[in-house]
Amino acid sequence: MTDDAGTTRPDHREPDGSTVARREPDGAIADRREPVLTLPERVFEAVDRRLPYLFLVPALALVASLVVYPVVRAVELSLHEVVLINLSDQQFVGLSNYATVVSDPVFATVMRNTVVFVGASVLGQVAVGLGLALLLERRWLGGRLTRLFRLAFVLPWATTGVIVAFSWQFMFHPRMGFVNETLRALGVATPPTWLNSTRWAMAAVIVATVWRGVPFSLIFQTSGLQSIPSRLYEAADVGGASPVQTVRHVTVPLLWPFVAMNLVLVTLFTVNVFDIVFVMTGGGPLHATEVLSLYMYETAFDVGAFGRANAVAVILFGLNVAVVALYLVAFDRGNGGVR
Amino acid sequence: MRSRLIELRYHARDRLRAARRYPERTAARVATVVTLATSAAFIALPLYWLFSAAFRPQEGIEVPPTLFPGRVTFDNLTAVLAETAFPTYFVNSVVVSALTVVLAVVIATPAGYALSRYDLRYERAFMLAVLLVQMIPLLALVTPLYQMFAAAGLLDTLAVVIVTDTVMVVPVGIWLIKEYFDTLPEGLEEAARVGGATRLRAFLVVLPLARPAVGATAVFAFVVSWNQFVIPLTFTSSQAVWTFPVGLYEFISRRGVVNWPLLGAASLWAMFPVLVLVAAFQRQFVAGLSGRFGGGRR
Repeated sequence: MTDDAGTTRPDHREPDGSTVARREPDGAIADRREPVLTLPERVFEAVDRRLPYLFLVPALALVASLVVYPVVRAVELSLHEVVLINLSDQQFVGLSNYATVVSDPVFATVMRNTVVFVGASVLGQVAVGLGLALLLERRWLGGRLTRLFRLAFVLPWATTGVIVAFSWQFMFHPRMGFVNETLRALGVATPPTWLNSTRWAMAAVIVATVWRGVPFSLIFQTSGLQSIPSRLYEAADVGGASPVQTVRHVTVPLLWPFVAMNLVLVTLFTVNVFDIVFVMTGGGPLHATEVLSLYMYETAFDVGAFGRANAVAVILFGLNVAVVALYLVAFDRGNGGVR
Repeated sequence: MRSRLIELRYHARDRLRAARRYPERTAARVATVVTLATSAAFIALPLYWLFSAAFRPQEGIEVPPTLFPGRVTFDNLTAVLAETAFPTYFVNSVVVSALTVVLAVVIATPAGYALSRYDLRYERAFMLAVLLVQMIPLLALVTPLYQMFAAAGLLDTLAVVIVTDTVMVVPVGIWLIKEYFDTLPEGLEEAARVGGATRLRAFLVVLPLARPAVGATAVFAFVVSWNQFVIPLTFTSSQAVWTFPVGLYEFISRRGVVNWPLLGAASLWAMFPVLVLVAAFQRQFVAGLSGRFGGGRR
């Protein structure tokens, strides 16, 4: 930050001769410019002075037109009757799309599936990620071994979602899969058919999702652990604290904000998981694995009820906002406790 | 060689003595390493299972399956290139990812720089907006974007895929680059400005210093766009513009029967660039993943 940022300079003359009160990002240096300038130089100077703002324009334009505007558009479309085949024909129908969605018996199943899927996946990802992060923080492991393990653990996050889905589909294959082969070797005579079974498909999808998401939590928690000053551990050591006491009184309280933030982010990711479920089961069998994101996609592009799909998209968006709000409240309370 | 062996022997004896003296600590350490190694194996297993199918002969995968292919063949790896449309998908993916990387870097770098170096109006609001935008789910944007692109007649082009991919990575890029510039001293630019350089020149002078953050943004943009599925699935329909994830999904499993050896081969080709990249730029990848750079004690 420059010292005199924010200074108002009423005496400053714009290239077109008008006097405008404006803020100089770094006015001190601008004073050194030559008093007499040719026209191209003046234009260049005018552009250069606004450079910091110009630097932001492309990003701002892109995000405004392709993220913010679509959100508004989704709300608008959700209030209209629109079919996929003729997108330009939009009839205003008020909230009737929402009424249709909520009264759809499949929607109840979808919401139940979403809660089970998101709840189990989030807990799995954060717990496994945190556990591995704690194990990887051991100093005596040495740099090379830590890097090697971390590379192995990071792989799933770099893998294409479609390939993750296919991998696990193959793992859970009733005849050729590794999982059932292991179960048979362990003496289970008729192992489940996993993705073809209404009872086990969800479990299989959750396993794949957790597998994919563990690296994110691992990395996030590692950076959390690294932010804890080592002198606190030294103090605990000098004070004669046992390893359990150290974790209980040093690691847990200082790591809590990271865990909370991690939970928020992972929940957001998981609510929006699409590729893994879509490829592994397509929502089946009999809607057993159909989560909200799939339901929305199906409504839009298979059923073709585009207005209704936007109502589901708005519900999905609302769910995201609710998650963030919920965690912010919980996070605030947790923080207050520590202070 | 000989001296190395002696060294190893001393090392082993040393460890053994330590183990005898502190049996509990040694047990804990062994348990930790075993847990980590088991987890690593568990994480590698599904990928290995699919990739190893690529080396199994077409005439039926062994039932019951074996952990290692009985007979190793490279036919699938060549067949998927010669006999399917996979090369087209692969090239499309390369084009999309390359242009996404360029666009994301070109847009995010100056924005992150401006936010770090200048005291701008509405700066806090802007940074908060960047954070909030990341929380808007892509899935909720798919339907309105589809309608917008349809109205503009842009559906079924690579351009739409590239632009949408770029939007997904720019906020993270801005964040990464701003944070990195925050850690760089301002002396160099001040010297340049005092010497009469324009703001643009000053920016270009310090740009090379930001190489790690720009690299992290590029790696992040590459991985995200390379793996992106929903965007190309929704916004493209003709095979000529499919990227490989859509190709894998639509083409290989069309008849409900999956040709696992071919799929394994295609997946192996598709993952190859990412595996190399992540292995080579592990630090940048991890930075993109956590949205922050190094930091803390090291």
